[in-house]
Amino acid sequence: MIVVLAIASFGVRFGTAEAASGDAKGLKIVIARPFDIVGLDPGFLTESAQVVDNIFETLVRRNLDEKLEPGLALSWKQLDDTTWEFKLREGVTFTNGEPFNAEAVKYSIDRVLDPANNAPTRSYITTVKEVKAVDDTTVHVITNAPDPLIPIRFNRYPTEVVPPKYAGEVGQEKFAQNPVGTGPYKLKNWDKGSSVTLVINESYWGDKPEVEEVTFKAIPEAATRVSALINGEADIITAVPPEFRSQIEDSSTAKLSVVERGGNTVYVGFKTNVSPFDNVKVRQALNHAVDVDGIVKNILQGAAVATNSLIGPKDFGYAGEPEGYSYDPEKARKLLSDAGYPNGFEATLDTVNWYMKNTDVAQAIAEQLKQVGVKVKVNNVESGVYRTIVPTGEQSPMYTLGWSSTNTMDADAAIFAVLRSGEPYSTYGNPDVDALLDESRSSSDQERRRQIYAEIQKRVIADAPRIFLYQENTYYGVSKKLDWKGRTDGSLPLRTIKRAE
Amino acid sequence: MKRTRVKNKRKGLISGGCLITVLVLTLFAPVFTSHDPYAQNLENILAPPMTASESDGGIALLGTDQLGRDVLSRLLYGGRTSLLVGVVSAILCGMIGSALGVVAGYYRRVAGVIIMRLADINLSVPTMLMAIMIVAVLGSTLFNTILVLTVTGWVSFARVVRSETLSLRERNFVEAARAMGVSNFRVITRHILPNLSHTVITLTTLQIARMILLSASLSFLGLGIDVSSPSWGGMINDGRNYIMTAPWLSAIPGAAIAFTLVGINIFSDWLHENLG
Repeated sequence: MIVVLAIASFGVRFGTAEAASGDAKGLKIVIARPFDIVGLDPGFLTESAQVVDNIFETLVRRNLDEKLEPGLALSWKQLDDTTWEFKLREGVTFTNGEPFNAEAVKYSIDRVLDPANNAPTRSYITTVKEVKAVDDTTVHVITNAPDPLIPIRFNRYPTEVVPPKYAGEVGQEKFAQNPVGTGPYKLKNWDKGSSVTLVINESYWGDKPEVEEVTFKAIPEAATRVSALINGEADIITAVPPEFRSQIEDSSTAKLSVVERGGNTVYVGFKTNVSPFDNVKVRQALNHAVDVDGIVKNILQGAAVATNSLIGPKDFGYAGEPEGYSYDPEKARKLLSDAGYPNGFEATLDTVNWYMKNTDVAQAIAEQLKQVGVKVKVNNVESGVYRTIVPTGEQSPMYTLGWSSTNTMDADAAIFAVLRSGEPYSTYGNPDVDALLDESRSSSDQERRRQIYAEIQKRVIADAPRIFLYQENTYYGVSKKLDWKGRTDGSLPLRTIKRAE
Repeated sequence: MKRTRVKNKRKGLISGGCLITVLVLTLFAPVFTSHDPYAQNLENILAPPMTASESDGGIALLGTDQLGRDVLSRLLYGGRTSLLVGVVSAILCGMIGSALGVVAGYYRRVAGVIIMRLADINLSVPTMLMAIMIVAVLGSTLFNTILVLTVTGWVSFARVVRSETLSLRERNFVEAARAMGVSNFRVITRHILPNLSHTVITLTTLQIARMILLSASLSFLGLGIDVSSPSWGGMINDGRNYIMTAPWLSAIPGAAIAFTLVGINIFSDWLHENLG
């Protein structure tokens, strides 16, 4: 029955408002994503910030090239090791008329930092000890220890500025339903579970965007999302699975926007304290046994880039493509017998559907490992279960995981959590690497940080705590009527969407 | 049990023939295909049916899947798993469900109430939800799949058998036996169970069909047996991503399931006509 229903649902159409309509006055567009939003309070978000990013603003923002540029702050500088000063933009108001000022910044950060509020995204800014409103347009951010990442942290949604008076009056729950920000758009309508509509903020301080009104629509099934794009019911779609690429490319109404290496760096992690994976030779052998290029080319059909780098090319700290382990089953067999496993061993590989074609990739890896004598059983774990067993270390000694710098575009987010011993997602522990990781977090010298990341990269490759696989690309479908490209930071700034020439 | 002339011979022959074909093809899979159902060939993926398979010069009769594995051999070997799961769990359901049903019908005061309320509780949880819960907690293995199907499937037997037992219990030959001082155990085994056999057999064949479908649904959701072992539901699931470009991946195992289920249903219908 379920089979039949799933197949039938490919044909289902979502017939609603005609997309990309509108006259000279303004553009109305529909953006289809796999899910609807849950709440719209940036301080208490448990989901992608694509929608709230357009209602609220941060002190620092990223331009079209994804470099940092002034947002609500006009400038920022480091005064001493633990103090950063932000100069704020003047004359900005929230859409309810409340003025934007230093007090609003302090209020917005304080409520996320307050442990009593239990903000899910608190960890992004726990390095902040205190925010001081020096005068109306000057804010001092005091950190617990030197933190070179403060400007980046003040680019992320937990630091988006909310109006203190209104937020305080209505309380957190109501605020998440009726948000008020300074951003280029404001909430018009939210049909819970299916769509949310934003409309242009007429009193916005910056340039007036071309897009007048945007509906974010939830279409969970990828095939339906793609046909919505092609037949014009949606203008931009996110999360295009690689097998639908050609369908969009071949259509006369839409184009594909590729963000090369915009997704997670996927790897097979080893529990390096569990036999036989505590032996570095075994870990190196398994790296030699897997034909990553073949997997990327044939199974993923080029929807990812094979890499040994821990850090994405657009992230701070990227040091080019390091040399890794060549595909060499002969060498793998030799290393295994050197390690004392001439006949291989048996192991279980956990995988989860968070990553492209996860079961296919895992089965191909299992088959290739079988060629060198390692019998691997593939265990496809249900997503909710995997979410709880991986951070508690209950997964199998071999497990699939992907990690990225998730919008910070800095190496710290890309590697700290999965390499530092003692971190919930890390199954690796090397005192030298730990020391380097700790230093990278406290050094304000950007050149020194760059060196540290290059050093970490070198040591981790030698230590092989994982099978180095690939970094996924991400794909967007965009109507030919629009001029917009997918971004590495995963955000969807509506103000940057233009009419196609 | 009374013996009469076999009714509707053609129906029985055709449906029985279909089932025997499926059984022979899957049980003797190695005879019909020389390919290893696990062997991958990443250079030759998603080959359409009837194309020459580049690696060994042979012909991939039903094409290859997304890892270059031969679809025909996966279909035949996968049928083994699907049928095994269906038959074993249906028989287990039949044994457990009938035993509980007879007890509930015969001792209708205490045991009957307890068992039937248990059955009600079991029915109030959607089958699929319960299956997902059990597999999520215990992990996905062949044994767990059978366990899940048995836990969710015994109720239908228990309810039918109980109501049959309730009416048998009031029949004269049972009352006579009890009046003559025959023990309860003997009454159940000698006088009630034999009269239930045709019901149980018909139900079991129907249940096999249901179990095959349910196990396919579980595999489809990625909750069946482990991902690399072939099974019909798993093959449909694998093919789902390629429904636009390689529709045979899902269509072939789908057709196999449909063929088998229709065969079983017609056969059990025929069985019912002749036994009842």
